[in-house]
Amino acid sequence: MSAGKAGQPSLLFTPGESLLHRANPITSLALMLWMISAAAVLPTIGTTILTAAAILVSLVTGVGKRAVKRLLLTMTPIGVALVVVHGLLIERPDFYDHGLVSISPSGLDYALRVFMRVAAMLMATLLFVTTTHPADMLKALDQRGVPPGVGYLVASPLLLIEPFSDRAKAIRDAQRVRGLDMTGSWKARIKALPVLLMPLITLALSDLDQRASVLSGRAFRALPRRTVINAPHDSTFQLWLRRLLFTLAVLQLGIPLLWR
Amino acid sequence: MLTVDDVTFAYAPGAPVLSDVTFHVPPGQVVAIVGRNGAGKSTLLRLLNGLYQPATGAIVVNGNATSDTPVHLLARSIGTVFQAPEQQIFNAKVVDEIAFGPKQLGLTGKALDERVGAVLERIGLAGEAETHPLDIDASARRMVAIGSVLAMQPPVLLLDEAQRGLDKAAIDRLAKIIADEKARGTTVLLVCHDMDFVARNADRVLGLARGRLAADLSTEGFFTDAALTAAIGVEVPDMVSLSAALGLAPALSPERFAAAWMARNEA
Repeated sequence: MSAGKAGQPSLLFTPGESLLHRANPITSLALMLWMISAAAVLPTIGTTILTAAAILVSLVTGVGKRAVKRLLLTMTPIGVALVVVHGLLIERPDFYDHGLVSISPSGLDYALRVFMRVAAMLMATLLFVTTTHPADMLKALDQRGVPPGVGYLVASPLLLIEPFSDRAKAIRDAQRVRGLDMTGSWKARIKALPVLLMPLITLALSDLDQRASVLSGRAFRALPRRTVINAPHDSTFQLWLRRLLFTLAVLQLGIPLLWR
Repeated sequence: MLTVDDVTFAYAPGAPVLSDVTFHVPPGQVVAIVGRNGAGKSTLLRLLNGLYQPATGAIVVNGNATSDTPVHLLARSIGTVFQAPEQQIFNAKVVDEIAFGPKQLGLTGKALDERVGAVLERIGLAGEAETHPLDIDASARRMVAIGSVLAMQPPVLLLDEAQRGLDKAAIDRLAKIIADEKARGTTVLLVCHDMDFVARNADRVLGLARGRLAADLSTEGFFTDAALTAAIGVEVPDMVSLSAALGLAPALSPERFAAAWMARNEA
């Protein structure tokens, strides 16, 4: 497992031996895409069941703690914002006074629909990133004959999370020991943001140039197809499962569009 | 000035990185912390400046227990120069970067200008005050990081591989800064892999091996104990080896070696 200086993993990937961990990364990707497309078209009850099922799977595969924590951290502010904006602020025909506040039931219903849709999509993504290592994803893409540049484009954001996160911690530490207060009021914390973000952005831009030079220096795009050592396991069953999931994902999105 | 009492620390349960570390450093002493990679040097440094808290034991810096003092307040007592200066630079001018620390301490106006001006002179960048820190060379950039901490005038100064990447002139300047800080009573701790730099600048050496304090000796005493330096995994400086081979008293610098050589020849 990747770990930062303080021993806390920066990547969301959590090692394990579950079916999802052992699945070919392209199969996991297909599952994620199918879940996202399903979340885009299902009614609220459907996205609720989908989210619950994804949480259950995450618990069974041993990634539940990390995935659910991220889900709650992300969805709590989104949920609050949706309720306030659609339930309390935007005036709708059914807007009625409850004494202290005015509430719109249809607004709340809409907020719940959007909330569950986003939660289902996020949970699908979390299931994918917690059970699939970015390096395995790159190997699987190479194995499928995807051009190296495209593979790198897909996997590099995941691969960059760890160094980016470690660097952010190092910058935060460097500024704290120079007296920067990051425990005070919100005003103080907002004031501290440029101090933390400027070195992070500057170094990220400088890294881009260096990474491009290193890749070019290693003849990254010299061969259209590379030999993969230790390619992730694949099978005929997974191949057909992927085809089914990709087809379903396209149909789920396409049929409502065509029949509308 | 700095007391570390029976400190233990682990990143993960059951795997201590530092065990039972105890030492005291008085004001005006320059102490080098040496050891192999992974010996626990950088972890110890992060415990000293309060970024990490010990699992057991206590650390007191200038009368402040690190366990009770927030990091930003502890910064008044202990200044740290990290290995990568780029990780702290965010201002568009060298002068503003130097002024950042003192401003956090509440310094303003003429007092701030005077302090920043004095530091710019000390680090040799008075002529680059208005330059962007990323437009100067790497050696000068590291001096900016050192200067930004010096400007806070901390009674304890931690330098993590501060000499690495410096050119000859900047290394000499850093040695002078360390000597000046020692003279004004600052406690200086160097985390360092360059044993020549340690031999020239440190009064005392703390040797870490597998997270334990394996040596706490004067610099001369440390480098003349061949078994100990081998156990800790550091090289003996060339001057010490050369003086031993010629039967001279251990010389920690070329100047001292030359003096010992001349004295023997004259005798």
